[in-house]
Amino acid sequence: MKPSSAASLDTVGQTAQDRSDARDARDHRRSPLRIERTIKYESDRRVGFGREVMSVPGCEQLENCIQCGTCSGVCPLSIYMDHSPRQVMALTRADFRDEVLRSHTIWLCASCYSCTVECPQQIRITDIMYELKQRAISAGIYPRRFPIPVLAHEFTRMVRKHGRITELVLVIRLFLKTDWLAALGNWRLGLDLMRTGRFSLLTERIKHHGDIAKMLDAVDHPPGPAP
Amino acid sequence: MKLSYFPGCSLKGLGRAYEESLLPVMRHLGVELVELDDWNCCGATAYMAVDEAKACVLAARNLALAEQSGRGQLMAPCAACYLVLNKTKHYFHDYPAMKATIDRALAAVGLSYAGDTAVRHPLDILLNDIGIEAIRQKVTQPLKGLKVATYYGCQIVRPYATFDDQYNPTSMDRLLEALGATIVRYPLKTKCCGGSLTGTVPAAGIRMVYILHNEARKRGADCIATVCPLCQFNLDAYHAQVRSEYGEVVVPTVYFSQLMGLAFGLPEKQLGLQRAAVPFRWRPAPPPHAHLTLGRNPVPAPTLPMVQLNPEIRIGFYVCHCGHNIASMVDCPEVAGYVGRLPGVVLSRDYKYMCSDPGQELIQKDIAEFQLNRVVVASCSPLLHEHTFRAAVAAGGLNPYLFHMVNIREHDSWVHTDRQEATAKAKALARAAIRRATLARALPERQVPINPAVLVVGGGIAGIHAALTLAQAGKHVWLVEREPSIGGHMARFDKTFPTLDCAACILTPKMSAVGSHPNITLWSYSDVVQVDGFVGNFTVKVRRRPRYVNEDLCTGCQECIGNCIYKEAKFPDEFNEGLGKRKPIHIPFPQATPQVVLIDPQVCLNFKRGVLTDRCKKTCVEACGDRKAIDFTQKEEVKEIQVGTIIVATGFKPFDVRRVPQYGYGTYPNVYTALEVERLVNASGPTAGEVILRDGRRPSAIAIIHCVGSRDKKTNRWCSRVCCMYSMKLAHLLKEHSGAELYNFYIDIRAPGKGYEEFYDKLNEEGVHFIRGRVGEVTDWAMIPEEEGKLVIRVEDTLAGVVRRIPVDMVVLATGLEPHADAQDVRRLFNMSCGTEGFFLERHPKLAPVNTFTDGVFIAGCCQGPRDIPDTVAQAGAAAAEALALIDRGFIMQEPNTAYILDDCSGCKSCIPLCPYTAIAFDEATGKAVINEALCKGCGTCVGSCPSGSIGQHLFEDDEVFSEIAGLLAAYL
Repeated sequence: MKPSSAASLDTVGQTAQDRSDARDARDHRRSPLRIERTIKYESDRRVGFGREVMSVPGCEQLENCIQCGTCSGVCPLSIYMDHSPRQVMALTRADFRDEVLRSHTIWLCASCYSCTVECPQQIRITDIMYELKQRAISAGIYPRRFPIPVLAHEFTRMVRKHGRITELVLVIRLFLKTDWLAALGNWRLGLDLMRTGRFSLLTERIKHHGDIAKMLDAVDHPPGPAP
Repeated sequence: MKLSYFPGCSLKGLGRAYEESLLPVMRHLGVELVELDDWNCCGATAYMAVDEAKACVLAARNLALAEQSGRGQLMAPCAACYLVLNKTKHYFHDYPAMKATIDRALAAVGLSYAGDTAVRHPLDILLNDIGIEAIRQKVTQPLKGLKVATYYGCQIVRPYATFDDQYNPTSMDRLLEALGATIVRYPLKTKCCGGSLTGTVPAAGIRMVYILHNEARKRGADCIATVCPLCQFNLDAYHAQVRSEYGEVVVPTVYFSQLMGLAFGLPEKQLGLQRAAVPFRWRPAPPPHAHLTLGRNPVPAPTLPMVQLNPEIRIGFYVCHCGHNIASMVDCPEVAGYVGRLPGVVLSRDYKYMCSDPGQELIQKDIAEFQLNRVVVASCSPLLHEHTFRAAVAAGGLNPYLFHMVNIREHDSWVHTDRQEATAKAKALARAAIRRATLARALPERQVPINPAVLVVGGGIAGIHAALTLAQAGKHVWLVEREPSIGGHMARFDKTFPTLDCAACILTPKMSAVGSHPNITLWSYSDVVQVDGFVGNFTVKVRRRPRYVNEDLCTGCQECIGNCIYKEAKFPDEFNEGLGKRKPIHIPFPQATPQVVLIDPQVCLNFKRGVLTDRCKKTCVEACGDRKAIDFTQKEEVKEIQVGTIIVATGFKPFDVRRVPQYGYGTYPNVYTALEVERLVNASGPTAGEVILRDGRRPSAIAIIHCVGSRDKKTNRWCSRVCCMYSMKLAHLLKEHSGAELYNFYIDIRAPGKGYEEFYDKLNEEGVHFIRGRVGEVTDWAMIPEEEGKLVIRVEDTLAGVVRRIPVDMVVLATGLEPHADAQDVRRLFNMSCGTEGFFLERHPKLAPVNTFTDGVFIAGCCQGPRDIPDTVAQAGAAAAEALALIDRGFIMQEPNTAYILDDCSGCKSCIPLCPYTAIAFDEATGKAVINEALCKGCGTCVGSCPSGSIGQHLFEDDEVFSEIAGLLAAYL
């Protein structure tokens, strides 16, 4: 679950075709028109990816997508997305795994479930976004120091250790691991929190905190036949 | 009241003001909250993004602890906790694999979860357990004059339907209103607050916080009330960032519980109000004056009859491949080989299409060549081809009732996935049929004469066309219409697509032809209430509602209307969808047929709530003068008629657009339904064809939203077929009448008809915009100055690949077509079937599209499914032709499946009242029951109910049925 370097992000799923395209692009660099291939070849697909996603609980309805765009129409964040939620659905179903996992869209999803309740085909788009986030994190496909996966990672670490979240400690760890300058930019917020008695770094922890790790490990290790 | 309480990390951290205010408020209301011992993180949003199973396991530990505590209810005030706990419960019940994972993880720490804990939100408890009244009683400092924007955020209403409406939740509104506060209309009440994006992608997150503040400020809210710690944090703590980027737009954000505490008079310090970065100050009004608003007999089991095999039985058996329909799942040659070895079978074949001409000829040839005296065909449903094969057998010289059919398609190959098992089932079904066929008797056919009169139900274009066709062929037609005039929906349309003929110009000549045709008796304002009998001889009862005007005497001069005591028309006019006004005495529209006025007793001054009072001056009666057509004493009448065939053409109901609240119908006056717009652009409509909006403005931009109530699993799944075309027609007309910019928002353009695609082309040339994307919502909050005062459409332009906001003045909802609300009652009345969507079911979707499963009852038009006018007229013609074909033959052949009395009838008479056709009488001379064969419909009710088993039924003899069962089970006996 190590975040990849920028270089490895670029090479994820690279094909011979990509490399030849890269050569072409270099040759064209002398031209003022920067070009990049947008056509998709069958070799760009990871055949079976869409089916795999659709087999996850909550994601089954994706096969019924009619590409109407309701999800993008209601999504409060679609205005910033490189691929609209509708396009993510189409790319996922068509097995373009790398395109999907590299998309900003999955990280911009704030899990507000608007798309899920509006979808005329009752596709649970938010749950699919969760699934795609999980796949991107486990494949290590996200920009270095990108805060969202780091937040998710720090969150899980803290829960495993203490059973609860101490929000401020989490936020501070997040800033330290991503962009500590941004933390300084938020000085006013910190001041407000102190002023209103909400600035507490005292770690919250449950009595049986060891239990959490035991439970989570039991998820990873299904009981198999005795060795 | 005692509940478990799950605070969650936020209520102990940044959202502590929520807990600080909620606990005393709940205590004040007598709710005892016991904090769940050793609770842990719920597994919220951030964890879900890493590992859904683990997130659910974390939540499940809390659910298990709650269950262990013995209190079945767990209150979770944080929206994220509330959702995750609920989601886990759903997953636990819906996905066995998830349940197994949860069970395993909990077992690792000695816990278990049975799946029972109810996860409750405080709002749910306050409204549904404590109740608004009890809360109102506790108010000592009413929040008079406080304007609140209620903000629910996302996760307490989505994605699961919980205690409140998903699109327009109102629980907090009602609660705060009870505290005396004023609720401002806030269309963003369920929008996203930005979640964790305020910290991770500030450009996106802060903008969302800004939108929420800005809109609340514009609507004059003193504060935003929230139910979620993250919402409150985002809206409150980021005020500085919002201010520096967007200016002074920030409104204080409080928890609803803090407002409750204030209204209850609890000390401010106890309510955590000091924790808000943007301070909220509320000076209550001086305390108000001292008023608080405040066994049958056992039947011996039948012994299975010993089948005495008649050596002369010679059965021919045929198994049909039906192309791949049967052969792909059933090994047909194997079935044929197996049946060929059964006793009595002299010939067994498999064949590609038994229903084809060569297939039928094969049967005829074999009967002669092999002297067959029984024929069994294993193929599709008898509904489709029993008739075909009986005819073939008869043509071969055999009595048609010596034929028996087995369904191995619908009952076997289509519904199974294992070829071996499906083949075994086909063999068992065939074996049963062979046993039964062995005992089949030759039966005579019965001839029954047909009454040539026809009943047509529904006076829309389908009923009108069918009635005229039949009348012109010389048949007498009773046309029964529910509304005061015939014409149906078509009479309300302005133009028809794609030719743009004026709907009234082409329809009204047909309407008046109906009104004056000597062969048509038109009964409008009437309903069919009872139908008895069978094909050829139906007895129908029709209720004629009083219109308080004698139809025979009224000349349609309408002088009564002009002289009504009401000088102004002031009641909503049904024909114009309520956009126009009418008087109590009125005629639905100028060309109404019959040309007879009617009185609405709900509003007429001579009645009070429908009851005659005789208090009016009756100026209408004076105006009518000697014609004496007005009759206030008219009563409802039930008339009985005899007909031989029935055509049901009851049409459709437009989808109720209020079921899609996100499109704002009823909230925003300038949102219209398509049918309203038909009247709005019509020259004889309420505005004489001018496009003047409900607020008096003229639109400069108009949006037409397609597929409202169509292609949507939450409402109606089907495509309504006509909306694309009528939307384009309305776009053309609206552009022509108003000069506005027209935008069509569609999922797919469906224009499959003669001249339809060309019409689409024409609209593109006219500059009408077509945007492919299903609209997310219609709203009135503005992002930029040009949007102020407009309705804003938010949609993804899926072809351009961008999300757009488009301000318009008028929105037209292209409503889909659905069955009438009483379609099920009508279905029962005529003994028809309905498909899953509720439209009447045709006998065969391809080959018998106007027949129903009841002989002599036909359907036409939109009652069978959405269709346009050309298709409706074609179908009405087809239904009329089917009726004519029956009538002109003069008689029908009835299946000889009648019941008959055996000698051992004891004369107990118990069968007589049971017969739905009154076909059984008691013969005093013999002391036995007798069945009138002409009346018996072969329903079998008497056969099954006879206590001494002394009623038999042709075609369904006991030995036939039991031998069939024995054949089916032979492998197990």
